[in-house]
Amino acid sequence: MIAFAMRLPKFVLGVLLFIGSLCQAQVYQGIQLVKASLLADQNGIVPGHPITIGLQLATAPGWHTYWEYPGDAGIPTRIDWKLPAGFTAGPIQWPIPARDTEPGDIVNYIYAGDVLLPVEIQTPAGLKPGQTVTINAHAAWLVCKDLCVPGKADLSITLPVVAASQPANGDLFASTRAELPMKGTPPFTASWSRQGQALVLHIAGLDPQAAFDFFPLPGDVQIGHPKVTPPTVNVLLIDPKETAASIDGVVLMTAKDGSAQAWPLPNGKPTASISAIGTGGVASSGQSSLLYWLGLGFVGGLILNVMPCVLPVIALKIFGFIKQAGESPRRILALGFTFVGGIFAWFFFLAALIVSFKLAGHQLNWAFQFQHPAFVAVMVVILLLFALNLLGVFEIVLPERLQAKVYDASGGEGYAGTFWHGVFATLMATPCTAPFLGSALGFALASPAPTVFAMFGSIAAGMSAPYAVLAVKPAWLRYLPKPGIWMVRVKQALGVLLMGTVLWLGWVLVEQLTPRTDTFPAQLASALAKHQIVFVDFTADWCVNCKVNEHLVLDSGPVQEAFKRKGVILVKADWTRGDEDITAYLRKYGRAGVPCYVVFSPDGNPTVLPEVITNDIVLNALNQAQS
Amino acid sequence: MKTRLTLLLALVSVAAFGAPQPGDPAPNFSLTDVNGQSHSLAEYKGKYVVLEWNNPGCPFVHKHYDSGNMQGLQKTAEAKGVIWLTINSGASGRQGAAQSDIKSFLASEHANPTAYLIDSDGKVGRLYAAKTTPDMYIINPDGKLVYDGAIDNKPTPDPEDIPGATNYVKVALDASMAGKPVPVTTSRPYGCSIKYGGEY
Repeated sequence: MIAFAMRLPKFVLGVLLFIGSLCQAQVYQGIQLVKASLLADQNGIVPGHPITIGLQLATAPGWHTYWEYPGDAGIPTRIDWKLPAGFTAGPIQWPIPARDTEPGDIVNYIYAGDVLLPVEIQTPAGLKPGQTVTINAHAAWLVCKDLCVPGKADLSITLPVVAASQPANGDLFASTRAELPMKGTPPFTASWSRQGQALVLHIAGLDPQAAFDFFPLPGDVQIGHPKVTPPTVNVLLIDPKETAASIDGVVLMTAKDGSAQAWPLPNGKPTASISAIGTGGVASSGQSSLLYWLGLGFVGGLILNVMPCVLPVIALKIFGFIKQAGESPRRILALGFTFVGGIFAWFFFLAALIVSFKLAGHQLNWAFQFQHPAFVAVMVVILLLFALNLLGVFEIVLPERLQAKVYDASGGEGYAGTFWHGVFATLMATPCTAPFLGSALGFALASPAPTVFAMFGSIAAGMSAPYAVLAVKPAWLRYLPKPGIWMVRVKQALGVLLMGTVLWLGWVLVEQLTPRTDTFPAQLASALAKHQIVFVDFTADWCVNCKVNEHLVLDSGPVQEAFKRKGVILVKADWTRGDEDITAYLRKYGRAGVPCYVVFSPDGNPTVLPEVITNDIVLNALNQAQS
Repeated sequence: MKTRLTLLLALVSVAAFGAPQPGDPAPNFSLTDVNGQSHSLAEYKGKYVVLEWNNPGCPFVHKHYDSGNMQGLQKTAEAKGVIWLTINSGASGRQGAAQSDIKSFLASEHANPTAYLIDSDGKVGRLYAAKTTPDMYIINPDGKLVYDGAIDNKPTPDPEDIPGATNYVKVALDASMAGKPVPVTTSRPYGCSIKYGGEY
């Protein structure tokens, strides 16, 4: 459907853009209920780059359309794309809906008024600037007020192929994206447990100040209305025979200041090898393990004091306080704690820096996740550099002139001066502390903001502990170890430890990059390699139709007998958890979900069977595959 | 206040648990039909009974009536001695609850249920936790619920989807009457919300 090389003058293309997104109105008894149109987030298609196209439903006041899971009544809006060759469409990105309660204990998840449903479209790299591309879609929805009216429209949008594109419909897409569930690691851990006829979701590590809500995505599992009683959600299963151990859903957190973030529940993918990583556990730790990490942070801060450029400073500072205070214990104490305040100020400044960096990253959609091989790879390189630094392969030094300048600028005596000395003593210790701070920083990037502040606070507490103790008991100065070669040894020992972490992370990276053999693509490949008929059953535990088909057809005598006689290899693709590899295959066969049955001939040619199968359909397909 | 809230929550959860599930005895009820005649579930004990929640103004109801799907199912079932009770739980004044609408619907669609029952206070609908139109229930001669849920597996308002759909009511009736286990005993009903009256 690509109109090849039309080479239209630019202004004609501009006009084409306007008429490209033809909209259609749904009129009912003289009222326009819904105006549907397609909108793009860029003014042209860049070959090989994704473009987001949104279905906009401008809905009359008082009327609503439905979310992905509509609730007790209603049906979700659907988009069937008709794309030119080489283009593929992703799933609808559903903004968070509103909850609508009607008499009769009826709860629906709705969009009241206008909604934009974005879909990411992948484009082929072989397009040539100057072409135009028309994307067609059939959209169908249900719009309800007191009564319901189904609507549908055939829509199209025509876009030019360009070398570089400009953003379009920016405000609309930005406000919709703000309503989408976040990507990446949520700032909490969620676990499901089955308690009789109910599923219980337990959420740990939530900000106690924040309110939370739960929007279920139960697939074919029939549920009652989720009951939210922080920190748990109770979901009653309607079918006494239901075996589901969990359902999907979206957790909406509303902070005290009213800002809200929605997170999809972790989808049960194996992330265990990752969350077990050293400090990386902070990213998903509950409260008890958070205490453990804070303890480690404290010890880490304490160790900072024996780094070669820090230890001599302790004695100097305390002697300085004694001199300044004229031996008045109260003033020594006050000065000591002012100095400690300076240390804390510096570390909180660092934490604030990281948190704002993270926030910027969310907007840019960076994934600071240990699930991401790229992030792990960058961490390996950074930690390797720090380990080499500790082992003395190279040194990080602040220029001496800068050091002197900074120290002078920080002022003289008194409380203000002492406070700034605290700040700059820590800053000057940075060359030694960088390896630790750097590692902490990497892990902090994958943690929520309160955890970042808590971590850096505990490091600050660890580092200032000796000053605090000595300010209380200056006499204990004599117990302070003398600086010497042992400090270099400590540094090297820590380097070796860090090297261990590097090796371990490297192993994790290799694990991530090695293809797993128990995945569906691997199973299918090994089955096809045997050059026999292969029957693939795409199924899921929650799929009622799959069970019906399996029970009435696949397990029936004639079909089982034919499988045996023809030496058919059976491959089961279990989509219960929405495995992405399987999703990709389903899409390849033109299906959005299960049931789906594919028969491969011995030379690997696939035939897709209808969703509702009979013995005859399966037996015919097997016969054809053989011939 | 707090105790009241807890009590309310407890009642709500009891209500959710209280709705009959497949295998449970179907709770008895007594309603007046559109012609003013009274019917109770108990009087049909010993027979199969289908309960169909209906709203003559709902497009999902029209999907199955304009195509003749529902009447066809009704006819085959009734030929085998099944009692078919169509129930309207819409509150008076809300869409699809007017007697005139119901009567013209029955006439124009050539629907032929055993009775079209009026449940304008929504008591029976709430008793069975019916949520949508249509919403289907099958009760066996022992008075036990054997199916509750959607009419079929294609939750769309489009009549073109009927030929490719699995009709759960037909499958369940056939299996149960043949003495076989019902493969799907419950599914999520789809359609318009029932236009109940009252608060919630």
